[in-house]
Amino acid sequence: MIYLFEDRKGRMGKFFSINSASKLFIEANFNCPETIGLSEYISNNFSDAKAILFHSSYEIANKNITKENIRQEFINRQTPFILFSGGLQNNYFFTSGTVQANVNSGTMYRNLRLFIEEFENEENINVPLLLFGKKYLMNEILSVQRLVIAYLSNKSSDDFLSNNELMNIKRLIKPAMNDPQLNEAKENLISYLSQKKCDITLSDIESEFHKISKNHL
Amino acid sequence: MNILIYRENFRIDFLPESFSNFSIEGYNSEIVDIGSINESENIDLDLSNLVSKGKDKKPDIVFIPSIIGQPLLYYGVRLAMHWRLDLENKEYYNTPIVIMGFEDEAVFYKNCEYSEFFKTPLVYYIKYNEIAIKEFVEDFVFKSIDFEIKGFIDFYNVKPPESYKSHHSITNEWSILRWAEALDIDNHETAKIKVSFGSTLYYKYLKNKYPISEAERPKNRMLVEKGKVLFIDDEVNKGWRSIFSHIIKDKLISFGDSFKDRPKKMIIEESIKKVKDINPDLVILDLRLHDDDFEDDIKPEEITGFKILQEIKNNINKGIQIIIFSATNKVWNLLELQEMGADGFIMKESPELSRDRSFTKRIINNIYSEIDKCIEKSFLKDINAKLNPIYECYSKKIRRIKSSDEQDFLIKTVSSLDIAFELLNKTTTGKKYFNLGYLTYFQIIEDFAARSDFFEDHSKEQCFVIKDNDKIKVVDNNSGDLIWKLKFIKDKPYNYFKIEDNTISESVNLTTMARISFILAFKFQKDNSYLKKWGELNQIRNSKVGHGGKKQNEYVNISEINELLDYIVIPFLKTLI
Repeated sequence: MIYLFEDRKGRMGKFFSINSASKLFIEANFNCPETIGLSEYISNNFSDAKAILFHSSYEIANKNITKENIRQEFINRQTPFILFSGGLQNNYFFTSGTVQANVNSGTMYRNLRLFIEEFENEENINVPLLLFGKKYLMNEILSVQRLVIAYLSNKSSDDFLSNNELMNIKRLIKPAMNDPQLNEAKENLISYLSQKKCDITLSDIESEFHKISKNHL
Repeated sequence: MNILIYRENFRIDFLPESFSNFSIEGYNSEIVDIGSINESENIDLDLSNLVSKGKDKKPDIVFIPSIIGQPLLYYGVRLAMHWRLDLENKEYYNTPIVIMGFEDEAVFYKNCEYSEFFKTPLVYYIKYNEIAIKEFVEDFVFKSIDFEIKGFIDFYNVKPPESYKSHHSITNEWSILRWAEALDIDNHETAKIKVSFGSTLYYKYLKNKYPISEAERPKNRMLVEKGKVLFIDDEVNKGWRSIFSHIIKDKLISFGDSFKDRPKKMIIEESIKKVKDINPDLVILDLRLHDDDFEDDIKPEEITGFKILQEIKNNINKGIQIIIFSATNKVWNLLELQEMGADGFIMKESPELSRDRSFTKRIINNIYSEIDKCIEKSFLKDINAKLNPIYECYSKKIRRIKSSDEQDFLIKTVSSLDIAFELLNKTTTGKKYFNLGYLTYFQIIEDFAARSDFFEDHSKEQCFVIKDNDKIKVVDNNSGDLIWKLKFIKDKPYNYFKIEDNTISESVNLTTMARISFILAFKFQKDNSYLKKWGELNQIRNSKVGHGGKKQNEYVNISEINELLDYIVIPFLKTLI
C-alpha cells in the first residue's frame, strides 16, 4: 500500500483526483495518540506500507513526535519515504539501502498517477518516476554515463582505453541501469566493452552512450 | 589567470579517490569540493554557499560540472545561475562560466530545463574532460564584457513554487525582503529570511529582474504619535513585525506567534480576547491566519481574518479601525471586506506587481497613508463607545414597544446615529463630513425638542417644559407682556440664554436654540454655564455648518463634535432609555 499524508486537500485536488486512484493507494491521517509509542502505532496502522508520501509541514497532533521521527521509523522498516512540499527542490538518495526523496509538490502530483500505476502493475516503487516522470530512464542512463565520463576525464577523445579501464567501466555499469526497459541496452554495452579489441577510445564510449540516450529521449 | 573548478567527489570503492581530479598545468587552478547535496532539503542554500566559497577564490574563469546529484536535475547549471544572479558579490557578475557536460551537447540541450541560460553572455559548454578544459583556457580570449543581467533575465528559466500556499509564502517573503530593503531595515528577523528565501534562485532571479533603484526608495517617515496599533499575523515573527515596528515604532503591539497549529476557532477567540484586552485604535489584520484559509475554493466569509473583522466590527466596537493585510488583489474579496467594515487595505507585494518599477515606493507610501488615515479616524472608537450602549437599548426597545409613533421616533433616531457615524467615517475623504455629521447629531436634538413630552408649545401664549409628569411653564403671556424664564444674552463670539425672568417683545421667535435652552434649564436642571456652552455649540452649527455653509472651508473639529455629544445629544438620548 502507498500512503499519502497530505493536509492541503485543496492543493491536492488541483493536481490529482483521489477518487480515481488505486486500491493500493490511500490518503491517510497520521494521528498517533500520546498513549501509544510511534513504532507500535505504525505497526498497527501502516504495517503494509510500501511507500510513504509525507507533506513536509504536515500537522502532527502529537507534539512529542516530529516529522524526523516518523521518517526514521519508516526508514528503519526499509519503507521508501518521500517528503513533498511546494518549496522543495527535487532530490532522491538512499539511506541504508532504502530510497528517500524530497519532491516538489507540483512535480509529485503530476507524476503520481504513473507512480501508482507502476506499483499496481509491477509492484515496483519507482521513486525516480515520481521525480522525472517518463524521463526517469534517461536519468538512470545519465547516472552511469556521468561516472564513466568522469572516470575517463583525463583521456583525450582518441586515446585507446586499456583493458583495466574497460573492466572498470563494466564494473561501473553492471550495478546500474537496472530497469527492465534498459536490459537490452545494458547487455549491448557490456558486450561491446567485452570485445577483445584494443581500439576502443573515449570517443567510442561517448558514441555508445549517445546511441542509448537517443532511444530514450 | 585564476581558474576555479567545482569538483564532485565520486567515491567508487574500486577506483582511486583521485579520479576526475583535474590539474591544469601552467595555470593557477583552485578546486572547490561540492560535497554531497543529495540529501539536502534546501538545495539552493547549499548552492549559494558554494557560490560564496567559489567567489572567495577570486577566479577569472569558473568551471562547473553540469550535473551535481541526480543527473536530470542539472544542479550544476543551477549553481552557475546562482553564480550569475548573486548580487552579494557583484564584482563577479561577468566571470566566464564554463559548464562541463557528460553527454553529447545536443542531448544536453534537449534534457536540461535551463538550456536557455546558454544564450546569455559568457556561458559555455564543453565536455567534462581535463584536455577540454586546457584547450578552452588556451583558446579563450579574455576581455572584459559589460552586460546587464536584466537584459537577459528571461533566459533564466526559474519557476516559482507551484502550490497555492507556497505562492502566498513567496509573496510574503518577497514583500518582506523588498520592503526591508526599501526601508533600510536590517535585523535578525529579516536576516533569517535573507538566509532562507534570499538564498533561493527564484528570489535572486526576481531581484535581478525587478531591482529597486535609489530613486524609487520611499522616504522614511514617522507616524502614529498617538493611539495603539495591534498587528495580528501568524507570521509576525517572520519579518513582518520588523517592517511594521519600523513604521509604527513603539505604538505597535504584535500578536500571532502562537497561532501555528492552533485550530481556527482558537485563533479567532484569542485574537478577539487580545483586541478586548488591548483596546487598540487600529488593528492591522492579516487575512489568512490558518492553513485552511489557503484552500483555493474557500469563501471569503470563511477566512479567519474575515471572521475576526466581523466580530470586532459587530460585537466589540465598530469604531476600531481595521486595515486588512493580505496578498489578495481579488476585487470581489476586497469589496466584501469593505462591506464588512474594513477601513483600509495593505496589499503584499507579489513578484508580478514588482513589474511596475515604482510599485514598491507606491505601496510603502500607501501603507503610511492607510495607517495615517485610520489613526486620524480613531476618534470613531470613542464616539462608538459613548453611543453604542444607547444605540443597543434603542434597538431592543424598538422590538419591544407597541406605540407606532414612539417606534418611528426611535427608528429615526437610530438611523440618524448610523448616518452620523457613516458621515464621520468618511471624514478622511473630505472634511465637510465633519460638518454633515455635526448637523445630523444636531438634527437629533431638534427632533427631541419637537416632542410634546419635552416641550409643549401653545403658540406664544404659553409654553411648558415637561419634566417627569409635571408641566413647567416657561413662557407666559401675562396681561399683554410676554414673560420668558430665560434671558437672551447677546455676546461675542456667541449668544446664549441665561436663567432669568424677563419680558420680551412678541416679535421674538421661539428658536431651536431657545427651546433647547428651556429644556436644558428646566427639564435637565442645567445651570447658566451649561446654557452658555449650548450657545457656543449652537453658534458652531450656525457659523460653520448651518444654512448651506456660508463660510467656505470652515469645518467642525472632532472635539466640537464630542462636546455636542457629551453636553447635549447624550443627555437627550438617555431620557428614552
